[in-house]
Order: sequence, then C-alpha cells, then structure tokens
Amino acid sequence: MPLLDPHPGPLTEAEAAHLARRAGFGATPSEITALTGAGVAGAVSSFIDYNPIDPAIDNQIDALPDTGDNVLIKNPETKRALQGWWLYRLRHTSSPFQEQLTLFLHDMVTTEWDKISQDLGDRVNPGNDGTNEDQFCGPADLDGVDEPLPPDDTRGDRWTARLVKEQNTLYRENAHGSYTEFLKLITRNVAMLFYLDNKDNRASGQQENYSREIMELFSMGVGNYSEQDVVELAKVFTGETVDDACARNFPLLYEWDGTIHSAGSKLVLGTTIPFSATPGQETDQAIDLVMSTVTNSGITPAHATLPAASIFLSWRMLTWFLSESIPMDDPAVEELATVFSSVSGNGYAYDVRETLRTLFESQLFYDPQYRNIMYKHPVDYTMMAMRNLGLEDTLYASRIPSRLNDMGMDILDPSDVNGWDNGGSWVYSGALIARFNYSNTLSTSSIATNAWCDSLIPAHVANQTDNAGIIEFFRSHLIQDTLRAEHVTELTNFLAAIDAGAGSQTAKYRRKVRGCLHTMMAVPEYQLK
Amino acid sequence: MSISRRNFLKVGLSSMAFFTLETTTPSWIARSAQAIGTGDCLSEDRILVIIQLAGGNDGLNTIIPVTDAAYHAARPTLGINAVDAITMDGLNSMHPALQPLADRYQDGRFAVVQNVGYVNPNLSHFTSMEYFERGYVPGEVQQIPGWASRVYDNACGCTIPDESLFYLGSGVPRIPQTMARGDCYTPPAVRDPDNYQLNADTDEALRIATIHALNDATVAPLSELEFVQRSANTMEASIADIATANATPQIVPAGSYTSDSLGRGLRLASQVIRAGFKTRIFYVTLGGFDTHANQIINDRPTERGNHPRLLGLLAQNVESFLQEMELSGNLDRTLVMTFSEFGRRVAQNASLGTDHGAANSLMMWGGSVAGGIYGGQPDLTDLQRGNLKHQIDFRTVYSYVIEEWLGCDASAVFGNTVYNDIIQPELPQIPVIEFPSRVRPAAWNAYR
Repeated sequence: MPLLDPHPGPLTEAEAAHLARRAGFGATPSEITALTGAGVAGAVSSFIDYNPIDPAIDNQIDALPDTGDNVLIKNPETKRALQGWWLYRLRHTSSPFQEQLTLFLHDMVTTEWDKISQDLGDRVNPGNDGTNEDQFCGPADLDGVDEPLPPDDTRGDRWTARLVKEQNTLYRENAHGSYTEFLKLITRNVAMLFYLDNKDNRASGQQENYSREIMELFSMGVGNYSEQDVVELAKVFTGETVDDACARNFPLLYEWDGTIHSAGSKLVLGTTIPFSATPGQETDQAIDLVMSTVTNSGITPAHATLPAASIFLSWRMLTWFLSESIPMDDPAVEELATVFSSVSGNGYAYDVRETLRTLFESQLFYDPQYRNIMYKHPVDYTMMAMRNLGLEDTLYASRIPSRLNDMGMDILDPSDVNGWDNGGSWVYSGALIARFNYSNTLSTSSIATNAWCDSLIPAHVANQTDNAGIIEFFRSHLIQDTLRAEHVTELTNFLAAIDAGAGSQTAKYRRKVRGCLHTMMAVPEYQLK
Repeated sequence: MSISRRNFLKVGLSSMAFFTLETTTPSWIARSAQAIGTGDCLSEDRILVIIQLAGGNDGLNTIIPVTDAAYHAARPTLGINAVDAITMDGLNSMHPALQPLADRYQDGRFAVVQNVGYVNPNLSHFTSMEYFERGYVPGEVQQIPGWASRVYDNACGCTIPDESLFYLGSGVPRIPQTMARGDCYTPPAVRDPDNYQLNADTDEALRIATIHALNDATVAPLSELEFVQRSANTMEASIADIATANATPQIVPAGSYTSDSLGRGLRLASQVIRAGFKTRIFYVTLGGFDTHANQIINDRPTERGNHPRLLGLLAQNVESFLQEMELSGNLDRTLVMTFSEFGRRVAQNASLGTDHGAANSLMMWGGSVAGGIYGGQPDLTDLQRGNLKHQIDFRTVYSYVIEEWLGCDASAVFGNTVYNDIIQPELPQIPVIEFPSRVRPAAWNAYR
C-alpha cells in the first residue's frame, strides 16, 4: 500500500487546512493550530469519529424562536423549507464530516424533489390527472373504505418534504457504516421507491429503472453487468414497494408485497438466486452479489481481482474527497478498493468510515499535488465563509436555497439521476456571477445576526487604516494559502481607493471590511479547495 | 461585443490543448490544421439551435408508426391510433400534442430523421449522452471536448469570427458536454438573464473592477485556477451582451414561452438573434423524458401523463421561437434540431411506461428545412433486446448539419477515418436541408 501508507505527522498548517477543507467545511486559524498539535490520527479522528445519531442539532432547531425562517425550518413543508432545515445543520453542525458524507451520498445515490412531488401531487389530488386511481388517504381514514382526500395543492409538497427528510436522515445516520447495509436500506426507502419507480415494478411486467441505476450509479459502474442482468435484477426487486392503500396504514410506508413478486429463480451476475417468499430475501442476496462480484470486465486491471463495486465506489470517494480528475485506473483507486472490500476492525467489509480514515491518514492525501485543485461546490462556497468567519445568513429557507440554485446547486433536487456534474461545471460564468453576488450579500451586515462589520476584526478597530491587516484577516480565514502578489496589489489599491474617497474614517473602515470580504470571495483561489 | 476576441487574446493562446492532454492525440489534429484559414466555416449567418430531450425521448410515441401492426401489438395501452394523431406521410403520424407544429409540416418545414443511433448502443443515460454530446461511439477513442466545441476548435482552428457569441440558455448555469471543454472558447452559461450582472451594495464600480482584475492575474497554464479565470473572463465579457439581448422585446404574446428551461432558453436565444449578435450555435434542454412510469394516464392516453405534457411543452416553445424567427425575418437562416440520448423500448412495461431503448427519431425545423420523413421506416419486427436497431449513425446527421448548414469540415470534427468509412455513405440519404443559393464547400462535393 505505498500510496496509502500513513503520513508520519505531525500535520503542517497547510496540511491541516487541507484536511479541514476536504473532510469538513474548513477551519478557523485557531482550529488549524489545534489540528497541527493533535497528530495525524487525532486530527483525522476529530472529523470522522462523530456520533451518527446526535440529537443536538435537532434540539437546537426545535429550540429556535418562532420567528422568520425558523418557522419554516422547524416544520418543513416545502422544498425551500426543507433545504433551509439542511442548511441550518450545515452551518451549525459540530460534525461537518457527517454533512460532507451526506452530501456525497445525496450526490451519488440521489433523488430529485421535483419528480417525487409531481408524482405525489398528481396522485393525491383527484382532478390533477383526471383519474381516481391510486389515491392516498389521510391518517384518520382508517375505516377500511377508500375515499379520496379533498383536493389540496400543497399536499404533494408536504408529503414530499416528509419523504425527502426521511431519506436525508437515512443518509446522515447510515453514511459511516457498511455501504452494503446502506444499499439495502436505500432500496426500501420510500422516496427512492418513488423516484426510481420500483414501487411500480411488478411480476406482471418488471420495470428496470431501479435495477439499472443501482448497478450503474450506486455500486458497480457501467460496463460490469449485462442487459440481461438488468432484467433479472428487476425481477428480484418486484415486491419492494409502497403501501398506498387507505385501509391498511398511514400512507407512504415501505411495504413488501408478495403478490407482485416475480416467481421462479433469477440469474444475476452469473449466480442463481432461488425464489424466496420470505420478504426481501432475494433483494438482500442480490445486493450482496452486486457488492461482491468480481466481473473481470477489463475496465481496469483491478477488475480481474477486486469486486467491481469496490473499485467504482472507491473511485467515487476519491473524486469527492481527493481529486475530481483521478482516473478509475489510478493505482490509488485499486489500493483504496482493496481496503474498502476487506473486513474492517468493525467486523464488516465496505466500511465507509474506516476506508476514509485510511485515506485521510495517508501520505497520498497530503501530497501537495492534490491541494487546492478541487472546485468548491456552492455549499462549500457559502458554508466555508460563514463557518470560518462566524457569520450567519439567517434566511435559511427564503434566501440561501435560491442563491445556491443560482450557483447551480439546488440541494435535494439535482439535475438528474447522476446528481451534479461537479468539477469545473461549478464555475461557469453564470455560476460565478451568483457566487460573487452572494458574497456581496454576505458582506452586508444587516443580514447577519451579529453586527460583524464592527466586531469581526476587533484587533483592527483601533487602527482603521491598517489595510494590510484587513487583507491578512480575510486571507487567513478564507484563502489559507499564499495570496498571489498581484492579488495583494489589487486589494491594496482597492482599499486605498476607499481611503482616498469621501466619508468618515469609521464609515470608510466598514466599507473596506465589507468590500474586502466581497472581493476576497471572488479571488480565483477561493473557488478551489 | 468582443467576447471571443477578448477571450482568445487573454487566455486562448496559453490554454491551447488545455483538456486534450487528458486523451490520446486525436487523428484529426493534422486534418484540422488544414482547415484553419479556409474562411468558410461559420462565415455565413446560419444559426443552429440544438434541443436536448434529456432522459430518452419515446420517439415511437412522438413520430408514430400508426399503420404498423407490430407497434400496436407491442403497446396495447400506450399505443396511439391513427385517428387520434396528426397524419404525416400515410405511414406515420405525429403525436397530437405536437399540434402547434402541424402547420410547419404542412409547409414542408418540419423534417424527421428516423432510425438514428450508433453501433452497440449503451442503455445508460450518461454513457449514451456522452456519445451523442461528444460525438464518438463505442470502440472509438474517447473524445473530451463536445462536438460543437470541436467545430470551433478544429474546423475553425479557433479563428472564431468576432462577435460569435457562443451562447447557452439553460435552466442551470452549466455548459452541456456538447459545447464544453473546448480549447479556444469557454461559452457563457446563463441561467437567469435578469440577474446576469454583478452587484455591490456600496463602492459598486470599484468592487466590480477589483473582481475583474483579481481574475486577470497571471496564472499557470493548464491549471484549475486558469479554468476559473477563463470562466471569469467569459463572465466579464458577456455581461453587457446578455443585458443587451435581454432588453430586446418579445414579439409573440406573453405566455407564448413557458417558464421552464426550454421556454426560457428559446426565448433568450430569440432575443440574442434579434439583437443582432452573430451567435452560431445555441443549446437548450428539456428534461423529464425518462418515462419509466406514468408516461400516459390510462383513460386519456393522448392528453395526460408525462410524455404528452413534455411534447406539448416542446411544441409550444419551438413554435413560439419559430414564429419570432419568422416575424423578424430570421427563419430561413435558422435550423432547430432535437436529439435525445436514446429512444425507448418498443414494448410498454407494466407501469404505463417504457424502459430505456436504442435507435430513435430526431426532428428538425426551420425555414430552410426540406420537410418530410427521412431515414426509412423503423422495423419493429427486427429488434435487438426489444430495441430498435439503428440505420443511421447520429454523426451522419451532425455531419450533414456541420457541412451543409455551418459550412465547416465535419471530418475535422469527427475524424477523417470515421467520416469516410461510416458517415459518408449515409450522407446522401438525408437531404434534410435546402440550399437554393449556396455553393457547397469543395470538401463536401468530394463526397457526393
């Protein structure tokens, strides 16, 4: 494992800042100093050994006063409200790595809000589609008689919010453990059953949407299975569906329905799965096969010896945490796949946390060639600034989500089943405009809960003409690397131009701080991590 | 209006072959060198509007083989009868949701190319999309820049005419693979033209000038930082242009365009054209065609459900765009072309939908289109795993458009070998475009 050999430590400040940008949403200068003193294992542990089910943030959200956007995020019933609920967590979490992992899974094993809400909206609103089929009922409707709910245009969104929140929580609470077990959970997740249509997959005629995407996008990667495998796996998944009968239950719970489960044995990836009437047994066996099958597809040399899923998923982890341009046949992928497919100290294979611990502690991870070469996604762009500077835009539902959408990242509603394009696609011209305009918004004190422009750099308030100090403050909190000499000159000239203009010294000081934040977030280096 | 020149001067020279380092040197490099300076490519005022139907459009329920018994046998519920559809040529009818475009067909300005696809079709959205957008097929060397990027990079040798704003209207500020990762040009990506400008609460001019200057700093070539700065330079150079276009009044009545990515994109494309910019290639997207389920609603198969809804959006917005081109005297120089990553399975599935398929039809509209149905009738009895076999490589159609419409050398885009062996024999089959007054380029005549 030459590439994944541990970094001997201790971490330099640049290395600690790199770890914080990739495993979390950056760190303040004092946090970076603490990381350098913790040893490599200690620094990595401080990010990845989080408590997966931590009620702290939920309690914090519950305790928010019923003002402004708080009302929306405490009880999310729309896309913007649920986005705000997640953004609050992203801003305030003490487990930033857990949120990066949640984003990673949301990107890779994704669902699109709009498809679910449209489907639900059509089905729960008689009159929307002219049919009375497949109507759902309210929770009070337990009399055994199917009867339509009165039309309600908000119902589709409300129910979608519940399903997508449930799914987002599934990602968050299970991201760290066995990926195989995670796949079994997400296969039975109601939002996913809607999104990739497996709720409609029946013995009378299977439908291939989920069986294809679970192999192509969630595990093995394209080229490692045949079209026949897609058909056979679809048969396996028949019966994994949603209970939408009025009489039986609160609607929209996962249900095993043996009456629509395909009869006979299925041949998946060269292995026969015998018919089973036990709920979900064939599904579990098939997912174990999907995760463990060595396909010898020739896509990389490693496919001759390692399970295809271990290679594809290791490659996806590396493209999220190390480098977007790493090729699948890079030796680092094979090394990480070897770790990922081996049984960890926790007693199971495909242990996400332990695999990423190996990566984050490795010499490879700290190789300077990988530093500041990934494009920040819009959540990185906004949250790194707010968290590192102690700023807060409290319009979690009514402003930040639409601004993220302008930047190309409508969280919970990506463009397609492959999530986001990532990489350079984050910084095309329209997205840069949206970024720079948001940094303008963030630099306006009225939006923040703290009167930051007076208090953010207390050490400098006494010396309001210390322009180099202002630049250094934002460099050390946002760039955390060398600022190019040309940039220092431009920013120095910018602040000097304000000094040369009209206004009181205090007013000009505020304009300098605001302007320096606005423009520092437009420095090309700040677009990278 | 000096976007291309500015970008080229500022960053183009230092970034030549920026992304092609990632792939094997393509065989068409030598060929493209010859193409430089022909002075023909993109030199006429022709406009190409590419519409992506993302997710895999069900071509068989778009241009419907209503007379084919095999079609109705495979789609007992989903199938649309002749009586419900709009007659085209006796064999095929268009979906009734395409009604807004029916007159275009009657006028001979609506063409369909059937049986378009490629060898060994891949049923993955993303793999197949990559083939269609980057213009290569299984078994060939992977291409990195999109095929439209290569029109600029190779056929024009980066000698992009000044003012050739290469514009994208889309629902998200990203650039589709078709026009991404080119060497000589990073096109602007516009999500919302109303907000395509930089703001500052105070010291506005000073701050904006500083932002631009910060992105003009010296940077190492072939780096991620350079990519950011290139994009920021495109931003700087395009803001005023987009504002100019956005101020151009709409001709068709309010509500003629829908507010989705397609409607907004076509509306803005029309504005860019009517504002007088010399943009050559536009690209807009309409998503949602991955109709595995509830493609139709059982009792109203032609009116309700996802597929009729999407075809209705397509027809309404394309017709609004064509009307604006017509009213402004631009229709004869405008060609609209659809593509989708694949068609759908011939047989319906159990959930009122269709799974991923292969060969598909592709539609074109415009004042110079020679209307009709080309490419032969799909054979629903000779299938591969339930999917239509292709008869025409999609690059045949692209090449035809590149050669005949844009006046460029298609072999410089798709490779000389590919062009001769695969594309050239198929080209004469699809004379989709009329050129009463245009002299064909010599390169094209050689292949006739």
